[in-house]
Amino acid sequence: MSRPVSTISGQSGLSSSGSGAPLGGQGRSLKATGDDIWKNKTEKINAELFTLTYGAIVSQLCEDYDRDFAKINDQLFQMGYNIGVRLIEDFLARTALPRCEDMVRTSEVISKCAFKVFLNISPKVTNWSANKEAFSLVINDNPLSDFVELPMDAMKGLWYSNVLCGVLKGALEMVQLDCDVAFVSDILRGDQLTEIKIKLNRVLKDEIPIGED
Amino acid sequence: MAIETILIINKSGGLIYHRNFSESFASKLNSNDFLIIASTIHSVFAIASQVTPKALQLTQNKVDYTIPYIPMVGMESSANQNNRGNPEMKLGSYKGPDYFRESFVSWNKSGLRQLSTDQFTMYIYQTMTGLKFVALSSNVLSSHHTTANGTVDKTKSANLASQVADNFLRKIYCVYSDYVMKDPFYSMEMPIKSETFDKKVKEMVNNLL
Amino acid sequence: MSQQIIQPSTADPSVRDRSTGYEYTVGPKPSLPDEHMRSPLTSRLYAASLAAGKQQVSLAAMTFLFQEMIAYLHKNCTSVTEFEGRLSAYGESIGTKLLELLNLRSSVAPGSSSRTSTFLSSSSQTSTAAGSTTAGSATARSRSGTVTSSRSGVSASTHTGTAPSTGPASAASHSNGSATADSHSHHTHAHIHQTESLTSQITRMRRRDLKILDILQFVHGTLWSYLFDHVSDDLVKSSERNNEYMIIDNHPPLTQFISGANNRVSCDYFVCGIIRGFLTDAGFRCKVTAHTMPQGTFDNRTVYLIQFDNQVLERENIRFGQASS
Repeated sequence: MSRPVSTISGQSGLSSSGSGAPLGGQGRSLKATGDDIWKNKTEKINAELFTLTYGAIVSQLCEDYDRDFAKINDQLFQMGYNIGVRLIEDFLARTALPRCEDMVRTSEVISKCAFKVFLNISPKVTNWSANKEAFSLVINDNPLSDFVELPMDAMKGLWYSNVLCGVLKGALEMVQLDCDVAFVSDILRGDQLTEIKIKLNRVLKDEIPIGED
Repeated sequence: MAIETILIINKSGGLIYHRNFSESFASKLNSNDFLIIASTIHSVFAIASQVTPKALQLTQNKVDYTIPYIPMVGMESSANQNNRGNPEMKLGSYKGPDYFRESFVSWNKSGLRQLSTDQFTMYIYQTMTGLKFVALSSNVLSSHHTTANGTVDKTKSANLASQVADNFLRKIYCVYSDYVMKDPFYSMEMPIKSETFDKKVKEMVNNLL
Repeated sequence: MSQQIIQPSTADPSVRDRSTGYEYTVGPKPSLPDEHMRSPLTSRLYAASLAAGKQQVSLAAMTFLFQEMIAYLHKNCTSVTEFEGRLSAYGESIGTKLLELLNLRSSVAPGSSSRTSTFLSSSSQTSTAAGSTTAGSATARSRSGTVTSSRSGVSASTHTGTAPSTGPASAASHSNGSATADSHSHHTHAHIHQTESLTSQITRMRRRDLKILDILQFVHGTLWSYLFDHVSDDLVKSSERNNEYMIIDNHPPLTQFISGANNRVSCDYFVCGIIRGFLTDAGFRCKVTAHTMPQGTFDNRTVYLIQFDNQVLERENIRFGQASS
C-alpha cells in the first residue's frame, strides 16, 4: 500500500507539465477556476434553446396539473432534485474541488464556480444568518426566465424557476449537506430581485464516504 | 499500464459496472464472484481507514494529497487523430484536448488506494459522493530494485503508477458523468447498461496501452 | 319582414350596461382587479432586445434538463408512440416560436449597426417614448450621426443599407408625425431611446418562403445554426417519393448521451417536433419522424424524415408550374 508521502517533484518529465496549482487551492481563486472551466473546458449550446425547452416543460406541466400551482411547484422541485443528484457528479468530475469546510465556502463554490460553469451566471451571496449557516443567492439574468412573463394567476402561486431549488437541494444532499432550499422572491412575480434562500439543517455525518478524513 | 478490469462500486457497496479487457485470471471469475469482490473491496476500503497507524494520523496535515496532472492519460495520441482526419476529439460535454488539465487533490485520504500483489496491482479512486472506481492492472510493481538508492526507486515508480491511475480513473469519472448521468434511462445506483459508456471506457483503456 | 333599423349594440341599453365585452369607444378594459395598474407596455419583456445575443449555457446543463424532461414523460406515457407524440408536441411549441423569431432576425439588413443586445431601462422612459416619437423623429433628422434613439436607428441604417432600402425608410421618417408613430409603433412601441432595438435595423421584412426547397434551406441553414451552431449535415430529397425530404445530422448533440439506439431515436422526436412546428406554422403541413442511420464513425447519425401533406405538393404544383423533380 503505497501513498505519496512527500510532494512529487522532479519525478519524470510527465508530471506537472502545464498543470499549475490544484483548483480552488491557494494558487487559483474559485472565480478564476469557474471562469476557466466555462471558457475553455465546457461545450456550450444556445441559451435560448435552453430557455425555450424549460418554458415548454413548465407550460406543459401547467396543463397536466390543471394550473394547480402548488403541485406544479412541487413537481418542478422534484425534477430539479433528480437533476441535482446527477449534476453533482458532473460538477465534481469537472472541478475535483475538495470538500468545503463550512457554509461560507460552500456558498462561494456554488456562486462562483457551479453557476458559472453550468449557466454562465454569477449570483451574489447575501443575507447571512447569525450562525453562518443560511444565506441567500441573488440571481440576475436568470437564463431560465428570459423573455418570460407570468399570467396573473401564476404570479400569485408559481415559482417559475423552482427547478433551481431542487437542483441545489439534490446536489447538496449528495455531498452530505442536508439543506432547505426555497425561493424568497422572483422578478417574474413582480418582486425586486430573484432570491433563493439556502439553509443548512445538518451535515449527514454518517453518510460521508469513509476515507475522507 | 495494461488495465485488465474496471469496476465501479456505488456508495452502498454494490457493483454497478464491471468489464474485463483481456484474457487473464480475472475473466475466469463469473459475475457473481465479481459482486462478492466488489462488496469485499468496499469493506476492506473502510477497514483500511481505521488501520492507519496513529503516528501517521497525527502527521496528517502535512501530507500532500495533490495528484499532479499527467497529460493525455488514456487519450488518443495526436498522431492517431491526425491520421484519422479528425483533429478534434469529441469529449461529450467536455471541450479541449483533455478532460481536465490541472492537478487535483485526492478525496481519498485514509482509505485504501492501491493494492500491490505479485500478480496484479489494484488502484481505487473514490469520489466525494462515495462512488468508487477500481482498476486492476497486470503491471506488477516489483519489490526488488537493485540501485544505489535502493528502495527510493520503488517508491518513485509506485507513485507514478498511482498518479497515472488516479488521472485515468478521474477521466473514467468524467465519462461516467457524461454517458451515465445524462442518460434518462439510467436509474441511480443501478447497474450501468449503456453501450456508449462501454465503448468510451474501452477506447480509453486501449489508449493507455 | 320587419323594417327595423339594425342598431349597433351600443344603442341598446341592455347591451351597453353589461360590464363584460369590448366597447369600441372605450377600448380594452382590464378584466382582473389590478391589471390596469400594470399596463402591458411597461412590462420589462417588451423593452428587452431581440437581437441575437449569443448567450450560451453549458451543454451539460441543457442535456440534464433534457434528460429530466424525457424521464418525466417516460414515467407518464404508456407506449412508445405516445411518448414520441408528446415529446414532439414539446418541440412543436418551440418550433412555432422559432419561426417568427428567426424570420425577424434574418430580416436585419446585412451591414447595419452592430447587434448588441442591451437590456433596458426604466419604465418611465417607456411611457415617454411613445409620446415623444414624433418629437424624436424631428430631432433625429438633425442628429443623423447618432445611433442612440430608435428613430435615428432607422436613419443610421439608411447610411449603411443599400440604396433601394433607403427609399421607404427615409420616406417613412419624413412622413408626418402621427403616421410615422403609427407605422413604427408596432415595432418601436416600448423601445427606449437608449437601447438599440432589433427592429430599428430592419427596413424590409424577409419574404415568406413559399417554395418547399426554400423553407427547407432555411431549416437546414438558419434553424440548425441557431439550435446547434452548425448547419445540418445534409438536406436530401427522397428519390422514391415526391413528398419526402430528409435532413441529416451526424451527431445530434442533445441525445448523444442516451443509451440504446431505439431509445435515442425516440428522444430525437424533440427535434422532430421543432422542425414540424416550424414547417406547419409556415404553411407546410407535414409529419416528421426520426430514424437512425449510422455511417462511418458517426454512430449516432440521425435522419429526420419530413413528409409533406399532399395539399402542400398540390399547392406547389399549381403555383410554381411543374412539380419539383
